[in-house]
This record gives sequence, C-alpha cells and structure tokens, in this order.
Amino acid sequence: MKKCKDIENNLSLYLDDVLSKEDKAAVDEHLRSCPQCAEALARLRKTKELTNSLHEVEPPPWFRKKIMARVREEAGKKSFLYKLFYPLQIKIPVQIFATVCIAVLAVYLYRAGENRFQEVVPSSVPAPVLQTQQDQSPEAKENTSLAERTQPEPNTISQKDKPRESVRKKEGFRRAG
Amino acid sequence: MLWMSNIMNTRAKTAKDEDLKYVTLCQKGNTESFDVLVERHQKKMLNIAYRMIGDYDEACDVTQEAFVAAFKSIRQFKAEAKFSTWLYRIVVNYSKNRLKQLSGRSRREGFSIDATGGRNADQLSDQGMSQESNPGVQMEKREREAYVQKCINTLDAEHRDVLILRDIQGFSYEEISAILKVPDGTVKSRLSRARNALKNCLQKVIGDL
Repeated sequence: MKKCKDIENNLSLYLDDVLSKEDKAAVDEHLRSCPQCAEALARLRKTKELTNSLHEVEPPPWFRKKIMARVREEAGKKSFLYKLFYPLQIKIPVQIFATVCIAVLAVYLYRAGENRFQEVVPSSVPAPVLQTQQDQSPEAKENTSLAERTQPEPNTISQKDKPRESVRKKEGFRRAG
Repeated sequence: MLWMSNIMNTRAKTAKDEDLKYVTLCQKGNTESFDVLVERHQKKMLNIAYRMIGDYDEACDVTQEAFVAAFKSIRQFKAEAKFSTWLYRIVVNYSKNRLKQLSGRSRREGFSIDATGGRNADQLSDQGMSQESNPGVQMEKREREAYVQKCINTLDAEHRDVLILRDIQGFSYEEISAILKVPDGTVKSRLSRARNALKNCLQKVIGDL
C-alpha cells in the first residue's frame, strides 16, 4: 500500500487520466481506504473546474489591423535592407563594377581638370622676369625686340593666308548646304 | 529506427499544419498572407498573454509584440514543429518577460501589477458572461473569476505557464512540452505543483472549495 504523500503527487495525473494502469490501480485502491486523499482529489478537481471555467477574452476590433500595420512597417524596413544588400551574388558584382566606374571617372576628371587648369591660369611668367627685361641694357632690349619682330607669331594667321581661309570656309558651307 | 520515427513524426506534424501554406508564402515575401495567421491565432495568443499577465491592455500589447517578432523571424521557422506551437512559445516568452518588467517596476515604484491602471478580470468579465441573465449569479461568477486570476498571479512564472496552457487553453502534455521546450516529465511535475499551489491559494481566499 502506498503512502499518502506518494498518492498526492500522482493525483494531478490521475485527474488527467495519464497514469499507467498499475499506478492508476494503486491510486484507486488507496482512495477507497483514505478519506483525506479522496477529499484532496475532490478539491483538486474543483480547482481544475474553476480554472477551466474562466471565460475567454475577445481581441479588440482594431487588433488585427494594428498588428498588420506594424507588420507592413517591418516588411518595408526589411525590403529596404533587402534591396540594398541582397541577393549577394548579384549585388556584390554590381557594387564592385560601380566602384571601379567611379574610380575611373574620378581619375579621368582629375586629369582633364589638370589640363584645363594649366590653360586657365596665365603662363607662369614670373614678375622677376619682366623686371629683368626692364633691367636689361637698351642694346640688349633692341636685340630682343628685333628677334621678336622677325619671329612670326605661331597662332596668328598671316595676312596672305587670310583670303584662302575664308574661301575654304565658304566651300565648306556650300558642301554642307 | 529512432531517426526514422522522428522523421515520420515531423512529417505527420507538418502534414497536419494548416498554417504552413501561409507561412511559406510569408517566407517568400508575401506579407499579406500573415494576416490569415493573425486572424487564426490572435484570440488564443491574447488569452494566453492575458492569463499570464492578468491585465488586458498589457496582454494586447504583448500579443502585438509577439506577432511582430514572429513575422520578423519567420524565415527561421523550419517546420520541425507546428507553426502554432512556435507562435505560442513566442507569446509565452514575451509574457514572462513583461511580467518580470512589471514586477521589477512594481518593486521600484511600490505598486502591485493589479493596480497598474489596466483592465483585469473584474472589469472584463462582462465579455464572457453576457449570456448569464441572473445578475446575482453573474456577480458571483465574476467575483470567483477574479479570485482565481489573483491566485494564478501568485504562482511562479514556470508553474503559471503550465497551468494556463493545460487547464485554461486545454493543450496536451505533448504540446505543452513542445511549446515550453521542457521534457514531458517536467511538465507533469510542474503542473502537479501548480494545481496544488492554486488549490491552497483558493482555499485561503474563497474558503472551502
């Protein structure tokens, strides 16, 4: 015959009918001869009934909509991150390609800018050079002015070539027309 | 042989899981299919949270949090268990965390969880008793429910969840074991202790049961 303590531990399982056949038989046998344990079982049954009879609460009418609004918000955040980083097998090559393009463009712009910079900034004829020209003797000045006069300016078109140039332009316009 | 039976069990579980279709759609990026899952499980989730916390507004908040958390990590759901089991585990854990926060706050600020200003069983009993015509009986039932909820609130969190899942929500031992991720024997022993503790508390509060 089992003791009351052992039976008490099994009463909850007895109530749910999950005891093995042997254990159930032992509890049944004990309950027939022990009014205290039988009373304990009755109280436990009443407790279970009370808990079981608790009513269910209903969700508020706005509940589902509110949950879905939050879920959509989360999905928006998620898809933004997804768009930014995933799928990796596509995004990584694209990002590498874009980085290389940006680098090439940057180098190109830098070089083009350098040439233009040289064009825009006046040729670096330093002031001391002018000063030295002024300091030169009158004979030397004459020599240099003679030399400048004899040398033709490279960018200017000589008076003889001018008519030819205008004829060429006219011919070009006619062909285009 | 054991692994064979495990596979068979998993297949049987997933075959029965009616949520799986919508879960798969969600995992593929269809957000709207989550709406079906919310509709199916909102009431059960809310009731678990409500009985765990004992406050309707807090329970609503926790249930929302649990659903959002479930959506965020839905890609991690592997269909090894039923989706509902996974979902109820989330709400139980969130409810436990909220209980800890509330009890911590009540200790610091010196008020009880019942006095947080939220709605509890007393104020919400009309929802479930509208069919009871006799006001006297209605009042008595409401009072009794309030006592039961107060006694549930006195239980430890680990006894409370087992009792709520078994005696209020009617889950099987196997399901409770899966939700709480504890062995079957632990569920049985915790439930036995929880029922005895609740019985003793109700005897003190109500008198002879």
